[in-house]
Amino acid sequence: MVLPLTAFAATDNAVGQAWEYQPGDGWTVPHTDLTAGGYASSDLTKESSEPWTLDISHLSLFLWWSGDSRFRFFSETDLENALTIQARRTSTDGAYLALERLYADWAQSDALNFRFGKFLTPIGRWNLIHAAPLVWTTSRPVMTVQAFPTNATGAMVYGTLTSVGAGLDYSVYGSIGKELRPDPDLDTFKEAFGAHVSYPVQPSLEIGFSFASYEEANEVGDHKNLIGVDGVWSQNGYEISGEAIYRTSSEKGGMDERGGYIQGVAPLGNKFYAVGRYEYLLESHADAPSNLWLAGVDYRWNRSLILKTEFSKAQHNLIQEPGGFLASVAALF
Amino acid sequence: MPRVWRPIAKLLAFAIAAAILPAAAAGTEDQLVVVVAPGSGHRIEGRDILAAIYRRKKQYWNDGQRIEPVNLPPDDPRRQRFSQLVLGLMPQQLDGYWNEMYFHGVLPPHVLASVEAVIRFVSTTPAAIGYTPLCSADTRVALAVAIDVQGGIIDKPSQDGCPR
Repeated sequence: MVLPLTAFAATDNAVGQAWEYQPGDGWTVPHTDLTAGGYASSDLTKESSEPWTLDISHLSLFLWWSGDSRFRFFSETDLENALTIQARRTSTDGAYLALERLYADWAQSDALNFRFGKFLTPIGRWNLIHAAPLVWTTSRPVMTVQAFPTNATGAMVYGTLTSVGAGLDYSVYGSIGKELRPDPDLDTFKEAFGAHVSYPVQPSLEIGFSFASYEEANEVGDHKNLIGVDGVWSQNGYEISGEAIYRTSSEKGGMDERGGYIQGVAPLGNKFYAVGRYEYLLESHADAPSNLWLAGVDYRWNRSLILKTEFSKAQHNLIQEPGGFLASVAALF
Repeated sequence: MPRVWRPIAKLLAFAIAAAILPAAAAGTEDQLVVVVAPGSGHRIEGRDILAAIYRRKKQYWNDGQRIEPVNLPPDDPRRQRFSQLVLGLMPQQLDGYWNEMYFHGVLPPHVLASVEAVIRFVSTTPAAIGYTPLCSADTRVALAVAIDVQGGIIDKPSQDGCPR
């Protein structure tokens, strides 16, 4: 696709426009179908009773190849916690090169695509767009990382049914474990299958539903079923989004975990935005739910650069979620 | 009708026509038309399909070719009108959407600097699709559908109201 466009622009600069690099649009290697992009973020954290910490949290690189054929390749590698600076200590001990995604796609049609490899688990909304420049807060809702493994290695069928109104997105996936380069800090699937659908009810409102049935590698024999709902509404700079999940466990013989969050964003003017979030999480062994509150102010300089500040506090904090002050800067490139 | 009224009636009819016809012509000129390569046979079956193409949700024509949509610059009033009428949002309101798509390796439609650039690109690229003011399109491109000022889709665009 690149060649004819580039050739066209080159032959008529008076009316054409060459595809110049723009932050947030990636960089296509000239005369190839290979595109490179990514994002970077740095966090400043002051958690309760902990010293200040400055962290280069993500240096993420996307590489994808998408030619005129129906074959497509995508990878994302993420250098996590590359550098951590505290009052009297600078360290690279926490650095880890994560393989976030590595997959090949075959597009039979818009409605029928096949994916093989390691991909983001399609449960809810946050997990699928979790990159720091895309989300409004430095911290992530706990339920979007605790309730299920965030990545799966296996196969997926997905597509957009353009014959259904404004287009129904769906994905159906399965995994037999064997995670590609598993992150030692995260649990992985031992086996899983599931589905996610989302539909734009209006241009400014999208809702989605998830289902997953799985076992995790660290809890073999405990079969879990999860259902979830997610949605986002945005208009004129305002945004309301949320997710909720309900999970059952074979070992616990019923409800194992349920929770949800709702997040609101409101423009304050001059590119400043107020952000608020409430999260509720109830685990089966807990006698009361954990409640997490967050309030912050962001400065979205442009489409690809955002500065975030937030203060969070947990009530009945059984999930050991550290409250405190966080600030970060994140950029797409 | 008494003879004395006939000149007055003619005058009135002329005045009404003079008032209405330029407005009709202006309506035609204000319409946008979706253009594809001549001879490609590519068809747009409704506004939802057009929106899916410009959101990169639909990436293939029915004949299997990968669709190459092109846009005018975000600050071009015709781009803004197209975006509002077809996608329901202004270009800048789609920034978050395109960030999410970029995260999954999907880029927005390429941007060309002018209507003439769109026509020239579409005329030479079999899988391309673009849009121009109805009266700016010429024989180098095929007219797929027109978009009226309310966002309605007109299946068989006509340039009859365009100034010659």
